Amino acid sequence: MNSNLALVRALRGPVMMMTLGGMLVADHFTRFGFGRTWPVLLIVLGIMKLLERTGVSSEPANPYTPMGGK
Amino acid sequence: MSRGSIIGPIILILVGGLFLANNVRPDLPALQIVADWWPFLLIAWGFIRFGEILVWHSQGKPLPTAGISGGEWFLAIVITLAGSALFVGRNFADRFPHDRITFRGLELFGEQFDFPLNATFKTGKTPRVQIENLRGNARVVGAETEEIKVTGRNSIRAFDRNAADRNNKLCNLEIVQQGDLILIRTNQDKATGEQRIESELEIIVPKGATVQGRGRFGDFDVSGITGNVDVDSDNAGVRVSDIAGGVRVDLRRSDHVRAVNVKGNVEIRGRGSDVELENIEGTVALNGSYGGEITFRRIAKPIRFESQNTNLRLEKLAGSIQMSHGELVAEDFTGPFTLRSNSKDVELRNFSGGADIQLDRGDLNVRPGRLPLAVMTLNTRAGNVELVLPEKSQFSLSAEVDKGEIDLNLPGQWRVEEEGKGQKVRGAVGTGPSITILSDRGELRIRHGAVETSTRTDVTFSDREGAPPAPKAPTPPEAPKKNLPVVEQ
Repeated sequence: MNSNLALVRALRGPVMMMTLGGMLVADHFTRFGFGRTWPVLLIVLGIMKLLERTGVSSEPANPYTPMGGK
Repeated sequence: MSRGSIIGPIILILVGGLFLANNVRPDLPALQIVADWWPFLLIAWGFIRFGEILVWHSQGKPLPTAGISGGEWFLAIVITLAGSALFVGRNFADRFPHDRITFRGLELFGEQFDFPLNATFKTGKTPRVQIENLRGNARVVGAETEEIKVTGRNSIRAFDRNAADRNNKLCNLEIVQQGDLILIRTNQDKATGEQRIESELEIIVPKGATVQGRGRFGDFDVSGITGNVDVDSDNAGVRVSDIAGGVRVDLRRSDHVRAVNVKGNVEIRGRGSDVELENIEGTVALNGSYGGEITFRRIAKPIRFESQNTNLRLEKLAGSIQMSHGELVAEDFTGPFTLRSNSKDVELRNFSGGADIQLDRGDLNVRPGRLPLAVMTLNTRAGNVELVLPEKSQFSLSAEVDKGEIDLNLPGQWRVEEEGKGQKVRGAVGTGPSITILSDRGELRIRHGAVETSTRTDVTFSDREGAPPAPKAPTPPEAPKKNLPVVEQ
C-alpha cells in the first residue's frame, strides 16, 4: 500500500474525532446545535475518503486489479 | 489504545485528577467544569493522535490501519453520552433549588428537630461583620444600636433526638472578634454523622455595619445599612435593599438576585437565573450566565453586562431594561448604547446618545424619540430592522440589505437602489449624525417621525427624571404615567 494512502487512512479517525469535538463545542457554546451541524461529519468523512482515493490513484496501477481495488 | 499512544495515560491522569480535585476541594465545581468543557477532550484526543501519526509516519514506523480503533471510538461515545448527560443535567438542576433534590434515606425517614439560637455581641457603630452559615437563610437588618443581636433556629434533620441534640451542641452559634472582623458562625461543619443542619438567622447589626455573607446553600437578605454588602455563596438568593455602600455578589448558582435603593456600586458575578436591580446610584457591573429575566430600573451611572453571548453597555438608565434569553426591551435611557449578542430581538425606545448594535440573529426595533440624534449603527446578520425617527430630525442615512427589501417612508427624494438580491439607500436630511443600518437577510423599514402607530407612544415621551424637556402632550385621563408593563410583540 502506498505510504501516503496509509497516512490518510490513519489520519481519518483523528480528523473525525476533532470534527466531532468541534461540533460538540459549537453545540455547547454557540447557537449551532449538533442537530444542525451533524452533516459536517459526513462531509469530512467524504473528504477523507476522497483523499484516500486520490492516494490510490497516484499508486502504480496493479495489473490484476485495474479498477484500483484492494 | 494503539501501541505507543500517550492517549491512554493522559485520560487516566485526567480522570484521576478530576476525582482528586473533587475529594480534596469539594467546594470547587469540578463536575460543572467537566459538564461545560468536556468536548475539548475529544478535540485534544484527535489532535494528539493526529500528531502521533504524523510523527510515526516521519520516522518510517508502520501506521495503524485505523487511526482510532473501535475500542477508542466506543470510549469516545461513552464520554460523549456521559458528558451530554452531565451538561443537560446541570442545566436542568439550575432550574431547581439544588439542595432540595436528594434521595438519601435521611430525607425520606429522618425527622426534623428545631433548636432556638440566641446571641448578642457589643460592637462599635461601624463594625465589619462576617456571617458564615453553610446552609440556611440569613436576614440582616441595620438598626440604631451598637451591638449585634442574633436570633433564629437550628433545624437538624436526624434519625433520633439524641443525635440531633449532640449535633446542636457541636454546631453552636458563636460571635467572635478576629481583628477588626466580627464573625457570626454557625459551625455546621463540626456536625458528625448523617445529619442535615440548617440555621435560620435573624441578625440585627448597627446601621453603619459592613456585612459579608459566606455560605453554600441559603438566601441572604440584607437591608438598611450604610456600609458595604459582600455575599459569596455557592447557591443563594440574594436580596439587598436600602444600602448606602456598595454591593458585591459572587455566586455559583442563584435563583434570584435583587438589589433596590443602593447608593454605591453594584457588582454581581456568577451563574443564576433572575436579576433585578432598581434605583442604583452607582455603577452596575453584571458578569456571568443568567438564564432568567434580567431587569434594570433607574440606574444613575454606567451599566455593564457581560455574558457568554451578550455584551451590553450604556451610560444611564432613567427608565428600564428587561432582558431575557431571546429578547431585550430598553426604554428611556442615555447612550451610547452598545450591544453585541448572538441571538436577540431588541427594542429600544426613547433614548439619546446613540446606539451601536450588532446581532448575529434577531429583529431590531429602534425609536429614539428624542432630538438631537446621535450616531447609530444597527447591524443584524439575519433579521428585520425597523427605525422610527422623530419629526424634524437631521441625519445622514446609509442602509443596506444583502437579501431583502428596504421600505423607506421619509420626506424628500430618496432612491432605493437594487443590488443583487438586496437593496441599498444613501442620503441625508439636513446635517446630522450618521445612521448605518446593515442586514444580511431581512427587511428594513425606516420611517420619519411617526411613532403614532406604536401602542407604546404614551411612554415614548415620559415625564420621568432625566428625560430632556419635551413639549408635554395632553395626557389622556386613562393613560398611565410611568412604568408601563412591557408589551410583548
